[in-house]
Amino acid sequence: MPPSRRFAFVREPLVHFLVLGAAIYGLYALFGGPAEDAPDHRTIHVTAGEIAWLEGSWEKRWNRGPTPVERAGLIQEYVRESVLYREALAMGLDKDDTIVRRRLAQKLEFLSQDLLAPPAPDEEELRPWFTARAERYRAPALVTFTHVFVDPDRREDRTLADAEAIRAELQALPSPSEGSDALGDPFMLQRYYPERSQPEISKLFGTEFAREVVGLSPGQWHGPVLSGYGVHLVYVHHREDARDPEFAAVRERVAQDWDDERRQELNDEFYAQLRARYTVVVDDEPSSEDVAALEADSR
Amino acid sequence: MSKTLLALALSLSFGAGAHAESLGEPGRGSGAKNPLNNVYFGEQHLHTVNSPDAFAMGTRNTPDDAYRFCKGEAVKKSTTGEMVQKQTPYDWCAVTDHAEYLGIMPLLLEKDNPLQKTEIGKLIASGDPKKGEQAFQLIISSAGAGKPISYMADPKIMSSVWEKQKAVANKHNDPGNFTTLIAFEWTSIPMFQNLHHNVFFRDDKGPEAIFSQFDSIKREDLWTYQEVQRAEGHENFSIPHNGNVSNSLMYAPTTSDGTPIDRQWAERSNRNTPATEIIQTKGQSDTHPALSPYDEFADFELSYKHLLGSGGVVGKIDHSYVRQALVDGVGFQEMIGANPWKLGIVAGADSHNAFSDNEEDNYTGVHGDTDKTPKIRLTSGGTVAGEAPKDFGTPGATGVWAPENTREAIFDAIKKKETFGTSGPLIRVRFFGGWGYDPALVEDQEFVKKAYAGGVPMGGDLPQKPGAAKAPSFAVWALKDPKSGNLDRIQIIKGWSARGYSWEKIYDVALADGRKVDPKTGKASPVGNTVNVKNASYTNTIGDSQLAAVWTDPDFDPSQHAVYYVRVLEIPTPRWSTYDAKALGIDPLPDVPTTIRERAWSSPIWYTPDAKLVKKLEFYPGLQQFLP
Repeated sequence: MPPSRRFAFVREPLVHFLVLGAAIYGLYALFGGPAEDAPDHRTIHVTAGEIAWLEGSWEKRWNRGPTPVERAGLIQEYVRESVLYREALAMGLDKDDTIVRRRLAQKLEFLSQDLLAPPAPDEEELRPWFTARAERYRAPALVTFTHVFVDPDRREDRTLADAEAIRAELQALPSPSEGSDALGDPFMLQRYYPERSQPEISKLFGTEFAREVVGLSPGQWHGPVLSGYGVHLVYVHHREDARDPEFAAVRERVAQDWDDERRQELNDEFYAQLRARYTVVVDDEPSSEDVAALEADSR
Repeated sequence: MSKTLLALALSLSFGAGAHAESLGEPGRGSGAKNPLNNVYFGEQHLHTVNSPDAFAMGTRNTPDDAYRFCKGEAVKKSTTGEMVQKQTPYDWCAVTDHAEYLGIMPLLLEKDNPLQKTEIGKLIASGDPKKGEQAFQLIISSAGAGKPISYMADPKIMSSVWEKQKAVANKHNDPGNFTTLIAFEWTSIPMFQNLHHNVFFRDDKGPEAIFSQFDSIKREDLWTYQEVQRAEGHENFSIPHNGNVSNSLMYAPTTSDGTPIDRQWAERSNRNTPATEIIQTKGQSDTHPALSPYDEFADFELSYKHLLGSGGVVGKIDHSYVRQALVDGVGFQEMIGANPWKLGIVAGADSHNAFSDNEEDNYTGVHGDTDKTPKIRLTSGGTVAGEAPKDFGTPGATGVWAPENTREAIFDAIKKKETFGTSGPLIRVRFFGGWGYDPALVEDQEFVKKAYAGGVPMGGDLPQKPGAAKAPSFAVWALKDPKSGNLDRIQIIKGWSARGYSWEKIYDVALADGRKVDPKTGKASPVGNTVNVKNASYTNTIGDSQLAAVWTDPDFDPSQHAVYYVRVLEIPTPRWSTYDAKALGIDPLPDVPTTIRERAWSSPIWYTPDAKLVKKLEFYPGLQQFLP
């Protein structure tokens, strides 16, 4: 037998784990662990409440209770988890573990968030809050337009000259809605877009095109207007200016935002109260300018 | 066709076009749907602070931040404090935090929960916010006194994080403007072999209980969970991802117990898993050069290759990629009478920082502290689960063809597979199959209307072959992302089953810049390359804005089961790592590509022959493989 085979077991991860575990446990027993576990530490009591909880979780998932065999399996698995958990605690594996630290911190955050449900605001609170932030709820300007695409991949050097010629034809039409379909090149997007905001037009045609189209005057053909695709001739049928919303129309959204902001304040307050209980000493303290910059940034 | 003839053809074919409005993009608030469907781009795979791995990587951004980022708002990134924002907002988004820790905290407010009898429990259960504040003060004083409240350590006191996930999704669901889906990730990974699936729900209530790998690591059990929830009124589907690191598990021809899959198994797979993710930050799962040696574009975003958490094991390739699954799938259809891999195509992020970061030139990392700045991404030498940041790609994007932007419409469109995935850019792809599309369709203003009328869209089955028809024809149309590179070509990838084996062939059906396929080599000349690596720049002087074709299968055999899907390629553009190198003023990394061939993949269209035409074999050598 070649030597590399004889000691193959040494490379097994399970062996590493057991050796490491024994070493950690041994060290713990030597330096500071209790000499003998108290008897109740050696008892795992699966209470009726815990079993009911296991069964309840099962039922939600499978829409039926566990069979006796499945129930035994659930309990066995729960016992196994408890044994490993107890041993891990005994070895001190919960100490200085980033994930455990963060998980516990997160748990407290979740818990505090549950408790900090602010009461629903009344009209007197909400209205001035809304008025101070009316900009946020402004309905955007809306443009209704038709466009005709002139494809540079087809027309190459003639594209701009062709676009001028097509615009002349478009201008001669009795109405922009009749006959404009027969001009220009095939294009996957629609020719007619009703009531679109600048961000919506930007999603479809790109930033520059959107910026230009919202500034065009209604009632005539414009162009060439360039997009990420090529050249367009554009007719604006109608333009609706941005307007301040009625409070009633956005009340639900405002109440939601108010709630979000209030929760954030309560969370901050919660942390501030906890933080006030500690004196914090940091070796190599960051400069006061850096801290000020960080605070300015987070505002 | 010469340009002059083309112009003539245009003037002839355009005359009869109906008014554009009849194409059906209705006005705001009209409540009307577009019967020809609009494309809605979005995200179906995202992690936030509520995924413990994301949390451990330093991510503090919430599901709320994730949805706001998708909508286009500027959001502060928790790891750096910088504001991040999409250039082009998404239309829909689903947050899919890992189920493993979302479901373990049952509601305190559950009936008969003994904790309701505790002091804090009573205060909270009262529903009176003032009493909530009292409970809050009680915790504060307890923490201050350094004295634990014994029952506080019990996880049952905390309301379920899952309930919160649902509430935040519903808060951001705004029918007509922005859609969210209630979802979670089932994180099954037997022996480091990735079998992760995301699970999505159609209703606003969502299920009470979610399913994690602690419940089972077998996908048959996940399907049972899905079927139970469906029966309870929570219509749902699951979408698997990262076949590329599944070590032959994802599309294996065997069940979890190692027995060969049968008809019932295939039908359950179909019913519960209608789509698969073709690309995301941990690489693409379309195909691998070892599986598709004649595919000149197969060598793409393959830098990520280690099995998750395995400490550096490179996974096996066989049965790990979507194309092989699609092609084997039609073989199974012939062999056992059902196709286990009848999959639509989507793409995703799998970011663990709450941001769906699909824009190559606007990439800010995906894994919390481990890749948060250009310097860390290119020079830190750190890894996530053994893989360096340079080997991750930017997230992919999913396009959904739906009549309106609502939860139901987006869900239904994914379920019927009228979807496509991209490597990031918002390329629009239309793909239809039928038995007699007119080649002049590509010049027709009513392309889409006639294409729907004459066949089926992507994700569908070809209708029964009319007796006179010789071969199916396919109508395909692609439009570039106006903020990204021009298009190079459209390809149709065909897979079929013959003599018990799976076969694939790639056809160039539309080429930019007037190029033609060389009949001698069967290949087209390359589109060129305008990338200036040093400046991380390119120009759209090559390629086309849009490409279209009607293509008839020249090799069609009516007795062979077949599957067809589209791949659209962009011209070369700089990879994110090249933009980062420019930002840092250093040379691009030598061991990852400096440019990327961004692309889109459509969901397939299937052809199933009339049973009379098929001579079933005794033995299918290409499908009788077991897990090694």
